[in-house]
Amino acid sequence: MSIAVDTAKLTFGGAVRAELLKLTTTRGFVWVALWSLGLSALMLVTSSAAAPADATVAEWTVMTIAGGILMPWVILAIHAALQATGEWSSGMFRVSFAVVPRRNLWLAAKATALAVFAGLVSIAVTMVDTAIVLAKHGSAGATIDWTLGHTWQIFIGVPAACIMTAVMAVGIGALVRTSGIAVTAVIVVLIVLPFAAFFGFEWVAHITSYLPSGAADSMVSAGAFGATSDDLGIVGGTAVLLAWSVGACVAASVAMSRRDA
Amino acid sequence: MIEVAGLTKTYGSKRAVDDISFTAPAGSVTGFLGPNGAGKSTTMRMIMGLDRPDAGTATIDGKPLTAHVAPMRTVGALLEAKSVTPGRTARNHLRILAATHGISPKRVDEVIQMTGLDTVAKKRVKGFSLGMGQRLGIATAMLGDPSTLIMDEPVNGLDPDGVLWVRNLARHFASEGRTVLLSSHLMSEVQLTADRVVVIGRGKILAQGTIADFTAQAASGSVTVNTSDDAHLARLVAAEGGQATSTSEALVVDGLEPARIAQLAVGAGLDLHELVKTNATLEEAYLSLTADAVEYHAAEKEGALQ
Repeated sequence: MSIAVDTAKLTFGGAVRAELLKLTTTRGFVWVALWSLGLSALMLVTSSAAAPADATVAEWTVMTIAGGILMPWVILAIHAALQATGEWSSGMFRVSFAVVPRRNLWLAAKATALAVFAGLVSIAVTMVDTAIVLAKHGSAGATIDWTLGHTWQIFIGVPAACIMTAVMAVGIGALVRTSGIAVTAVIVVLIVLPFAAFFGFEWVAHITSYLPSGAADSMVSAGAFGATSDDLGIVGGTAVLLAWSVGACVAASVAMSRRDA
Repeated sequence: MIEVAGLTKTYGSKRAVDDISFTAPAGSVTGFLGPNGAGKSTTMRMIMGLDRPDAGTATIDGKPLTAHVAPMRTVGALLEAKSVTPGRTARNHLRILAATHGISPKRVDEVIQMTGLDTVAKKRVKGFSLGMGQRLGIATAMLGDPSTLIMDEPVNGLDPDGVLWVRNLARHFASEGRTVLLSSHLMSEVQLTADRVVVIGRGKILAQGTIADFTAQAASGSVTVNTSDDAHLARLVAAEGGQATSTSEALVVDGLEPARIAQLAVGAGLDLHELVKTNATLEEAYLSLTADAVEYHAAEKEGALQ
């Protein structure tokens, strides 16, 4: 007897569930999480920084914790881009667009799934980094002060920055559809271009503040994502990073609506 | 029902599909035939919304695929079998698709069984043979129990048992009032499976209609006759203006209707053992129609096949 599918209907929740299953039914996601955790932990364990012996120790503690996010941030972004381009490299897009023919819905579901993954991994990284910093520097007075605004700025801002950057990377991947180009674009935008701040031209340094790294750093005010010359503030940094993620997805959406799959 | 109206697609300077219109009605199997590069796959991709047409429309049950609230229940498509992430298992691939529409995992297990993939469902797809990949593609197409089935070369790589299964599946689908559109280069298989054909060549529709009408138009008109004195009949046929060619087994007559040949034979007192008008096969009809539409010819070297 055939199992009835009469009530089956395409929904956003179903599409997100499908994208999460895509993520978790190959082994890659485990390695991404492990590398993110491992590299971040390694950075903090091997760091020679010492806790200050004054009232700024609580501030120092959370900024040190935030310092471990740089590599996971990049790894999560590259992973997100590859999850998008993987649809085309495997040919899976033919099936994905057959069952979810509205491409904006597919893109939104894919971005949501990768945002969830990036959020969970970055929170896990932050928790592990917190444990490491407190274990390593607790005797020197390192502590988490929950009454400090900066503490919340970092514990919320770091995962938020990772989430928005992952969404941006999904947009880039869906826009270019080729793994090599997508990964190169992500690395250039996140790591290479910010180095322009060191060229010595003030206007260049000013522009790099509006790159994802500069914006993310303004969000958490910890120097965690690379140098920035202008502090855009929490709201400004969030708005700029949001513009990058939304902009990349809008560009991908427009391209997908006009071209062949 | 699939309705295609004025569909056109150009890639660069090449007009791949040129203002084609046809219907694949519900309750029938429509064979979509054409030489390599004729535009079959492009047309199917446009019906599925994968490629954007430059002009025209393609609808399934009256609406473009994007307008359907449950696309998997509307159409199941097998366009390229191994459109699967290689590192994923077959069962997980189907679970992913089922999740988009809230389809039960039990349905996943059901289609796995239907397509004979039970023993390999938990194996990674990269290890699948061509036939197993094809079966997975068919399972994917059937997952939503759709009202329309679109299959591009569905029997490619299948063993005879699988070919028979696909034929019966298509016929069963059509018998339930659903729409089946399939393309194939196996004319013998299409002749057994399809009710109607649409023939495309160089991006244009060359013919469409029932198989019976299609083959009747291409019938050679020859009549095979076997009598007690074929030589005598041959002289009578020649006197009537017809042409008679003697083979080892019978006489092949052109230019005269079977009734007139029978009259000649009976009038001459001959025993009539066989009188059959030769019908063209689908393959003959197709080759005759598409002779000028083949773009990619294999070069024949003298003595190459000796």
